Parts: sequence; structure tokens; C-alpha cells
Amino acid sequence: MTEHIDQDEIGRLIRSTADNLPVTSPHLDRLASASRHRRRVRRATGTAAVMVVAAISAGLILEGRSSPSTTVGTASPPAAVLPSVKPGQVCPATPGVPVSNAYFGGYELGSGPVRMLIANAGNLRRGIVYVGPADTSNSLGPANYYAFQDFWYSLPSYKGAWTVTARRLDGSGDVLFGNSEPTPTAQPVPAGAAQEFGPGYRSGVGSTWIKAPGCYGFHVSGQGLSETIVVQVVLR
Amino acid sequence: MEGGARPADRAVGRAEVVATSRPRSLEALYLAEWVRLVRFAALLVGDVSAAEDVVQDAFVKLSAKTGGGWGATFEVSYLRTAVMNTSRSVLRRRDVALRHAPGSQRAEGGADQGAIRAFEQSAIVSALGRLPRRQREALALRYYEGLSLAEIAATMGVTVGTVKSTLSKATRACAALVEDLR
Repeated sequence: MTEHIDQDEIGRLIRSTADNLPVTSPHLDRLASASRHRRRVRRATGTAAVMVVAAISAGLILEGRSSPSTTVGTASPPAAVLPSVKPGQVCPATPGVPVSNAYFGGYELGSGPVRMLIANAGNLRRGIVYVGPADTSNSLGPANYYAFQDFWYSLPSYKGAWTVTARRLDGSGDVLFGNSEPTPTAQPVPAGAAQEFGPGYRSGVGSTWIKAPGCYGFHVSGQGLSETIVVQVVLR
Repeated sequence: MEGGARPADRAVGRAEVVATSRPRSLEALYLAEWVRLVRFAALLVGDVSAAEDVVQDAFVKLSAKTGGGWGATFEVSYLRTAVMNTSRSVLRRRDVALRHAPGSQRAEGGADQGAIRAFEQSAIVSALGRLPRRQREALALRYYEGLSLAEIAATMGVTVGTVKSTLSKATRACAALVEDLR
């Protein structure tokens, strides 16, 4: 089957195909403006986070109630909102259901207005996600973490701000969110259309990094919103 | 298509890699390595605009690590690893199967669009896209970046033995895929 194409031919094909690719020459202004843009985005995100916390705090005061479920911007969800799981106990994982529309596809977990879409392999109908070996040398993301690809989104019916926090339920271990520079708290999704990607759908952060396989609880909080989603992460 | 194997060209390529491996300022690396790194990233992600974003992102992140300055020096190998890791992030995001709404595709037309489309639809790029990530990276590092087995092992964080076996499997699988796709 492979007699016709040998190693040299593969090498030649790779080199010639890549060498023929037209690439616009670099310009330093572009790099400088990219850095400025990045700093602006960081500042804007920080401002948005403050606004979300302020808006939700204001909502709490106005509603005259206090609920741990509405905390936004903390690195770990309040203990009261997540189930307690002892080491070795069955992980009460949230069942996933297949979803496919014009904008995204995969298995979604959760039945509230904010849902978690998982693209990794696993027994997702039972809320079980498989992860591969951890990257031991990741110069941009965290080293020695396991990653799985998820994608958080809110339904068009939910218009408020929301954010996601998480912690391991059956032991200790960090959870980080993000692609190449993950943080303990997912970037808050503000109210409004700023992060819309479809008609009314708004997306949050993708990628979750964990220190070890196990049972993980995710808490979605927002104005009048408190959802819990549990995922069992298995090394395969 | 260019004809035949080019051992002399390969030797030149290796010499360039060695000569450019000394630490250089980020600014110098940006000017000197941009085109090559975009082509390298394009082999990994199979998409030219994503490849440009990957390389841009890698430079900006390295700049941020040094407080936003461009004077700090890096070896090109460090940058190559950054590009490879950023490409992995892009591929992980793509796995989510976020489907863009109609109209979000790259605008058609322009002198380069045909060449870019030819690249993205070529048998070799399609074949690379179907290989496991590690095999794809090993082939790109070996045949485009011209790295030695030891250099590939260091870049990928694996042993030389693993590189040898990965390259062997990758070459066979890639050859079979290219034949099927032709």
C-alpha cells in the first residue's frame, strides 16, 4: 500500500507544500498593536468582572436575600452548593445528552439556562469524561495538568451575567479554566450581547485543567441563577 | 511540484537551523521567523488564518512574560515549542465542534486565496490532519523544521526512541493517507 510513497517523498511533499504557502510578511506595528489589544482586553475583562460582581451584589441587596449560590468571581464554589463525595464513593455525575444545532454540537450536561458542552471522549451520557496523560512541559499553559475540552454556553432565554467555578469533590486538586493561560475562575460572561455567538447564545470559557482525575463539581452562578454540574474525570 | 530529493538543500536547511538557534530578541525573531513559523503552524492546524493567529499569540504571550518588552532574548526552539503548544490549544478548541454561523468564513478572492485553498486542500495537509497529534508534530518538526531526532525529542518532551517509532508510524500512515486522497 505504501510502496509508492516513501519517506523522502513525504518529506518533500511537506516541505514543498509548506514552502508554497503564501504568508504575509510580518510588520512590527502589527505585533505592537496586538500587545496593546491584549492589554486592553485584559483591562476590559477585569472591568467586566468588577461590573458583574457589582451588579450581582446589587441584585442581592435589592432582593434582600443572601445566598451563597450567587457568589461570582471566587476561585472555589461555596461548599454548600456542591455535593459531598468521600474518596471511593460513587461520583454523582450529571448525565449528558447529545445536542447538535447550527452553532455547536456534542454532549451537554446540565438542564438549566447555562450548560456545559463536552467534546472529549468518555461515557458522556453518564457524565464521565476521559482525559489523556498530562502535558509535562507546557510553556504557555500549566504543566502537569490534565485537560479536557468543554465549552460553556447560556441559552437565549437567560440574559443575565454568569460565571463558573469548580473544585474537586472527592479529594484535593486545583481546577483551572481557559485555553493557554488558565485561571481558577472562568472569565465571567457579562449580561448583554457582547459574547453572543448565535441568536441569543452566549459562550463562556473553554478548556478545563485539573490536577488529577476524580469527581469534580462545577457551579454556575448569576443573577437568580445557581446550577451544579458534576463530572467524573477518568484517565484513559 | 519540485523534483527529487534535495540533500544539498537539506544540508543548507540544517545549517540555518543551527545558525539561528542562538538567543535573539523577540523583535528579531518576529522579523526573521514569522513566515517559517506560520507555515509550521499551518502544517499542525491545517488552516492558514488559524496558523497566523497561533504564531501571533505565541509572540504576544512571550512578550507578556517579559513585561511587554521586545528586547528579551529567546532561542527559536523556545518559540517553536510555544507555537506547538498554542496549536494544541487551537486544536482542542476546534474539537468542541463550534460551528461558525454562515458568513464567518474567510472572504473569497484575492491573489493568495487560491494558493491558500490549495494548501488547505492538499493531500499532504489533509493527511497530516488525520494523523494523531503526536505523529503530525513529529513529521512537521522533522521534515519542515529539519530537526534532528534529539531536537525533536527535546521539543516534544519524549525520548529519542519514542521519536523514532512515532516517525516511523507517522510516515507509513501519512503515505497511506496521501495515496488514498490522491
